[in-house]
Amino acid sequence: MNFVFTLILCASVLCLIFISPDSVLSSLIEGTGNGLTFAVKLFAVYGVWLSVLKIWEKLNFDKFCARKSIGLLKKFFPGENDSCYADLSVNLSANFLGMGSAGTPAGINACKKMISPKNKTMLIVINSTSIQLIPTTIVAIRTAHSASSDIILPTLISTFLSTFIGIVMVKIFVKNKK
Amino acid sequence: MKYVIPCLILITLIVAVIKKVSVYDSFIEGAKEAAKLIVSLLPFLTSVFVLIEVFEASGLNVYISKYLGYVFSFFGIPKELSELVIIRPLSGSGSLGVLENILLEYGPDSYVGKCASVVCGASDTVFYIVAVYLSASDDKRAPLAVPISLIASFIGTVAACFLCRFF
Repeated sequence: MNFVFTLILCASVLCLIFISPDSVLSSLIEGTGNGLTFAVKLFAVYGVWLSVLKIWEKLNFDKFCARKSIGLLKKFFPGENDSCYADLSVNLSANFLGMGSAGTPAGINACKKMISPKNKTMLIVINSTSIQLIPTTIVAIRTAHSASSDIILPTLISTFLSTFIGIVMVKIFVKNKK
Repeated sequence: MKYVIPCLILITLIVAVIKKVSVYDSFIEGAKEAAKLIVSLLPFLTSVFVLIEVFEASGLNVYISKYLGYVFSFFGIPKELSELVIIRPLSGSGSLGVLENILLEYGPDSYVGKCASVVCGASDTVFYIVAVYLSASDDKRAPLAVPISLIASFIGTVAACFLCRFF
């Protein structure tokens, strides 16, 4: 992360000095401000979903989900504790149903409880290759542009392919060091 | 589909009432956790947003996508998509903006329009996810998470452009 961040930042600032030196500082500040605006929006989303999660936790619904999927979870994320599996099952099922941002708080919690760095990589890879059944946002945008063709099937195939390749690469390339 | 989430929330509330779980307390606890989470997220969020802002303001994104367009076309990705492919791992709202433009310009049923939609639907904001997911952990090690996610997403993108020829 440090490498990518520094590289892009240096290159961009260098470019800006030639094009418009005035906008270096202003765009840095603008970016930080955008981050804050986005954080406020996220608070709204997370506030709602963490409340729902809390209720599920009290109803033991998340543990029920975890019990149902524990075999599968243990295969992908070996050696974690039960409360981590509960968060994982919520995170992955929310992703699967296309409620991406709803699952993020559970994913962050799961990541926090994880012991193995390899499992963290696995969780991030699965999340960032976005397994989901219905790409709700994209379908909504296409409907607004009055699309007549359907993109759900190719989307499904390519997202499953990328997730699958990601999982295989984690299994092959990431060594499990404690 | 539009009934799934509302019903899920309603069912949750009804079951909570039946099982005598306090909905109000849960909401307060949830909002409290969200506040804590957002505060710990804030530095990571701003870092990603600063990156996007200078990247776009410098015109570097246009420049890079122009040259990477040649590399991408080698893999069968149309060069109209190169800006989208570059912005996709960085910014969700940014890539939706690019998608809007592509749909306006080429139409949602054109090959480029379909490719762009599939690429957007089938991939995610890698850098943002890495930063956010690790934000609360004390141990921030997640070896190779960025390169593996990027390579897997890229293969998905290549597959998406190939598949769109047939759909």
